[in-house]
Amino acid sequence: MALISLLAVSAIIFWCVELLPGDAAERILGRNATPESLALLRETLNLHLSAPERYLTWLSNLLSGDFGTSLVADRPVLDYIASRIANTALLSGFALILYIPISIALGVITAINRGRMADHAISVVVLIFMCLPEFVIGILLISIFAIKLAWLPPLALIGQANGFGDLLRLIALPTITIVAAMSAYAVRMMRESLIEVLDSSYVLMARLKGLPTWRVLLFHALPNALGPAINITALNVAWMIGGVVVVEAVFEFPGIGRLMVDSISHKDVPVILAISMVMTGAYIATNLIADVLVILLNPKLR
Amino acid sequence: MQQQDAGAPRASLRLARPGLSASGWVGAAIILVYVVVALTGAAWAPYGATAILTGSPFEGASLQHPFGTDNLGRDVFSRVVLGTRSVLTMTFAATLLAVAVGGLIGIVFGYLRNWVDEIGMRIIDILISIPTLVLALLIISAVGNSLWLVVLTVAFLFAPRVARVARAATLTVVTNDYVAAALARGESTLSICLREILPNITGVMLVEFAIRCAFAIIFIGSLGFLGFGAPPPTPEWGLMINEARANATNSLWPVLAPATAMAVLVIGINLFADGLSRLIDRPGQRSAEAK
Amino acid sequence: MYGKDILRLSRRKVLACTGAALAAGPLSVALHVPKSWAQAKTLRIAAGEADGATGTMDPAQSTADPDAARINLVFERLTVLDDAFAAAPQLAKSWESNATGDEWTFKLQEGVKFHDGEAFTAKHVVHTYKRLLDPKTASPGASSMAAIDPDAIAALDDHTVRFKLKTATVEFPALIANRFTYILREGQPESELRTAGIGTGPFKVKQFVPGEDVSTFVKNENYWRPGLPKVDAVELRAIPEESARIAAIESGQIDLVWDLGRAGVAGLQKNPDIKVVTTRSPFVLTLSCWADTPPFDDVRVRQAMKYVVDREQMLQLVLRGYGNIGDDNPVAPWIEYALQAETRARDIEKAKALLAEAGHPDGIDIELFTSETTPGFIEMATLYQAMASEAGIRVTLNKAPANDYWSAVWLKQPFVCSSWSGRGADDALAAPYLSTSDWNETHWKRPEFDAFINEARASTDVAKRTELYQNAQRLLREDGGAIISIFPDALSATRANISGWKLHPQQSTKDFSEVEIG
Repeated sequence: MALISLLAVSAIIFWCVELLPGDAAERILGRNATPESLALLRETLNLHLSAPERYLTWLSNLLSGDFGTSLVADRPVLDYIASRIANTALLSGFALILYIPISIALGVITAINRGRMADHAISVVVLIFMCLPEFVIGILLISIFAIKLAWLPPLALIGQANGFGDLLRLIALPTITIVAAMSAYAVRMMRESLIEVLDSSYVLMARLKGLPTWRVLLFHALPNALGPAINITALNVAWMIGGVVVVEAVFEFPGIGRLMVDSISHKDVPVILAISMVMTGAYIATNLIADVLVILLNPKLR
Repeated sequence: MQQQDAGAPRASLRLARPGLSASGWVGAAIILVYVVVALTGAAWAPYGATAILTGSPFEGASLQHPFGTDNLGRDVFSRVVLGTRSVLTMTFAATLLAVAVGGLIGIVFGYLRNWVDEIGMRIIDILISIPTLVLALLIISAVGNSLWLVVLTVAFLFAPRVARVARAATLTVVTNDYVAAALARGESTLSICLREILPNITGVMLVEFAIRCAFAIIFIGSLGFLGFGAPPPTPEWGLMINEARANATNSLWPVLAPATAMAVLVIGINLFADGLSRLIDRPGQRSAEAK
Repeated sequence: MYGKDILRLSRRKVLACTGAALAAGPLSVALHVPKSWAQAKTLRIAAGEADGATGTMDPAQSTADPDAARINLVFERLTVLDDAFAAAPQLAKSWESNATGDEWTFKLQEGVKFHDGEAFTAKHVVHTYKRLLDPKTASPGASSMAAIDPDAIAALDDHTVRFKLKTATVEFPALIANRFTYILREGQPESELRTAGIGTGPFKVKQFVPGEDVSTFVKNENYWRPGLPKVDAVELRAIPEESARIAAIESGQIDLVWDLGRAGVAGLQKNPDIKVVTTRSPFVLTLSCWADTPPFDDVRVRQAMKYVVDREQMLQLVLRGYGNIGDDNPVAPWIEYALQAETRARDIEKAKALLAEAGHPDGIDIELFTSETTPGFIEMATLYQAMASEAGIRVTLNKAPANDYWSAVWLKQPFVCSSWSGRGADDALAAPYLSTSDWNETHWKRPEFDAFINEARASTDVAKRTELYQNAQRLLREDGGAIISIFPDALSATRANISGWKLHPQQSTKDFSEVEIG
């Protein structure tokens, strides 16, 4: 099923790219194109073949493990996208590491303080973050922390990183942006499902047995409330895979999202296809993992 | 996998409260204010949306220009006010289209539950697995970025997601007696879907509509921000933020004003959707992935 | 012909290289001391135009701005342009032509070495030009140098090269000071040219991979101009988003940026850690309509469209004053051969009258294409819309995607925003307006205009040539399809500890050899 999905996605994307006006040869030569230079370049790039022919060539190469060569950068696609994938994975990884404890902690705090000041205060902040587009969060973070206070560098030019500490400083702002955008949903979700569990009869039972609150929370309530949170996390990761485009644009981060936007503008078909495959694959994998986790965590389904 | 998008509907232990919650009313009030501004703004906005040099460029906030001026000396307050109409129109049009088309598909599939449903849902799964923003950029690069193409693109991207929710909701009512009765009366599929099923899932669809509206505003804003949205000089908020960004270190008003307008509207819609979903006993119905 | 050369020499200021050599003499010794990488002075520079997978360092194929910057670090040309766009020597020491201007002989610098140690001689020049003109190379620059007969480029000795031209070209030394003619090393495989070219320039390629965000260059220890370059390494990246570029220099992530927009400069000028460096440039923004397509096919409509423009306001609002006013003439007033005329004042009544005369008493409705591809387009188009509406010219703006504006909109739509990099008078007139040009963006074809240009090119008398070029400008200004209201200055900024940076008005020319840190 996953393979069929990937295949279908590749066909859809290929067809979309075919609809784009112009071709890679025009994009490369740009303003200085002459009919002769265009014809010559099209020949070298195999653009004179028909669209189905090119798609089938791409597909058969893929089956033998070859992602092809970037039309524009003139280097193997795999080599080209590998470093970008690594960069985006690094950014997403840091974001996830921060996101999970933050959303669980805030979710727990709001749930056990339900209706009190702490709940209201956190809920309002969370609501605001949820409703601010991430590019606005990014611009505000840059204005405040990089320009006004000069605590952190504004752009994630990770090529400049000189050691791990430096790297952390460079990716701090984009990481915070992603975490803010993602946590908002998760905190709300966590709060709602925790409240529900806390109200349930077996938590009441545990309390009646005289167990301390933290034990009730940790061993009885939390595992049961995690299921929905995992689903939300899966959705968040799926969002991050595509939505990182905007964050990367704001912070000039050399990741896969920016490469995708560039490749669309250059009409670099093999690169666009490869990135779509990676993104879709990641989406499918995330959902599978989430499904498995939910089953493992839920005693009723186990 | 299918369930997640519908936000894992669960039976609530609490009773649905009668009437809209306080925060729901706040949300409704915010939306109402925006609608009024959109309808009447043209009559009282101090300057035109495209009027240049209403003051010198990049003025700070003053009585004359409550939110300052932008790079061409246009009044930011007027542009935010007048932008409300295009933002609301685009959002409602895109969402309405998505909910109508997606909803119908979802209900029909959920009712049929045969091979059409099977194949259709597979296709929908595949469409959903492509990151929204990426697909949007591709489509808009291909067909151009007029106002209505943006609306159509957003509707096309949201429709499969709505279809899933509608189908999941249909599954909960399709086994009811009144559906069987209608079938026995010999009603057509379409008529059953529209007359018997739709009225029973209206609440879910309303909540879905509200949530999608909130996503659509942010999504259209993001497209405008990346330069793929409405063309200038449309006073579209995302576009205004993008245009004002280069000078953000010097004058933050032209960024903050449209951003705040956008955020408050989204907050209003979210509060309203929340209140609505509690009303119909579907707490916490959320899906983050369209953001 | 010799008279012409003397004229050039007298006007040319002391050559930058000699001046710099004197100033930097003692310093150069210190720089030769080996340093660890941590101590090394790395200059971090950022271009404004998007870089990416299309990047190339092959001069014959270069079209983008980051490419031009890289090529300038590594390669050099026979001639360069001075601030008034007249030719000045680089790898050529001197030049002369025959009396008719169709045979040119260049004397080359001696003692210059390529990065691999190979001596720079005439054969490399012959190789470079033959390759450039070869149809197989398909260089976009070939057509502008079609006058050169590729089979008659000859090395007279190791340091003398002779070109024979198919048509006389008095401005030949200036014509070849373009972005395509950087001298390559003969014998270097074609496959290496894109990413690892060997030149004679101040820096050597350390790493350049198209599509990666940084390219790095290290000092050429054996550079022929003594004492240069003054930094040990250069790190180049492109930051297309202007706000990001500004944030980067304000926070010190970058030492030097160019291609700044007007909006951002105002903020930078207040910052004591930043030096704003600007230079007057004949780079030009135009609004170009097709003179053969209704309603633009009536000269009165074209003139009305010119009369609605408030040029001073354009300068203030689009460029925030950083630039010069244009007068529907692509040759900026300070360029050699420029026509000096009184600026066309805004006259709404006259514009209305002209429109009415042309049969449009109720005004016209037209669509103007614009894009983010060049800074200033959106503002210029938005302002033009507002200015024109008062005369009944109702403009609808169409914002096209930036990435394929030049391939999908320019030359394909009847009324567009366009821009031309700074050029000398001949090139500025010929490239967009000659009826035979591939890039005739206004579809304006006048045999008289072509005749003026062609005669001027072959005319060895300066006064006569000036008159012919000015006639051409007069005709274009009155009759042509281009509304030219502003020449934006080139704007750049450095951190306060950077010195020696000069911005060249020819956009593709950037000299980093004299830039110093600290």
